[in-house]
Amino acid sequence: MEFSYVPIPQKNTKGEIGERCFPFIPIRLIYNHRVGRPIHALLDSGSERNLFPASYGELVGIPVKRGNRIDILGIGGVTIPGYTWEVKLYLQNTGFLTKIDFSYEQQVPLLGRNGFFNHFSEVVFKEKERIVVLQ
Amino acid sequence: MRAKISKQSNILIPYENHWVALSPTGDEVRAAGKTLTAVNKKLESIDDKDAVLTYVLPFNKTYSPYGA
Repeated sequence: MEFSYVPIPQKNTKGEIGERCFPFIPIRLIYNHRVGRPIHALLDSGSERNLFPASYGELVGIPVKRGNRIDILGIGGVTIPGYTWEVKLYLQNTGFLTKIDFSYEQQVPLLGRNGFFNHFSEVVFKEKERIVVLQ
Repeated sequence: MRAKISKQSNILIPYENHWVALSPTGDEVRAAGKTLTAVNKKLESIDDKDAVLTYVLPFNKTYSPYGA
């Protein structure tokens, strides 16, 4: 599967607008037979696990705060609380069960190594072409 | 002055720090709001099931996720 990077506007120090591109891919979550809306999630090879906004989990019907609570350490030594749930994740027609940490302090859905990357034999970032390939 | 940017980027300019729902091709914003719940309600009201939810990151900051 190939996905083009998603362009997002960017302002330089003079306030001029340009753009930068991120390896977002469209996924869906399914929980208790309830199918979530497609959402762009960022492929993050630096993340150990998947981390999603709690609000998205709640849209899919997950009672987020009843999950196993964990502490998630990130950039700058900041720790945020998360709640772990097992859900089915779909990417196009490929689906698999995985664990996702949901946090009320996270906005951008992140797909990490354990829980997403490890379901593929290869994850290739073609930076110059702005394409990511999963197989 | 605005550098040349793609149409996909251009349509996001009004939505910094907002959630948007994009058409599957990414060239149309079908709904937008400060929260996912707000965007979901707008999508329900127009019976849109295939729009892709996207968080529009701040334009003047770089992004390094929490990943441990």
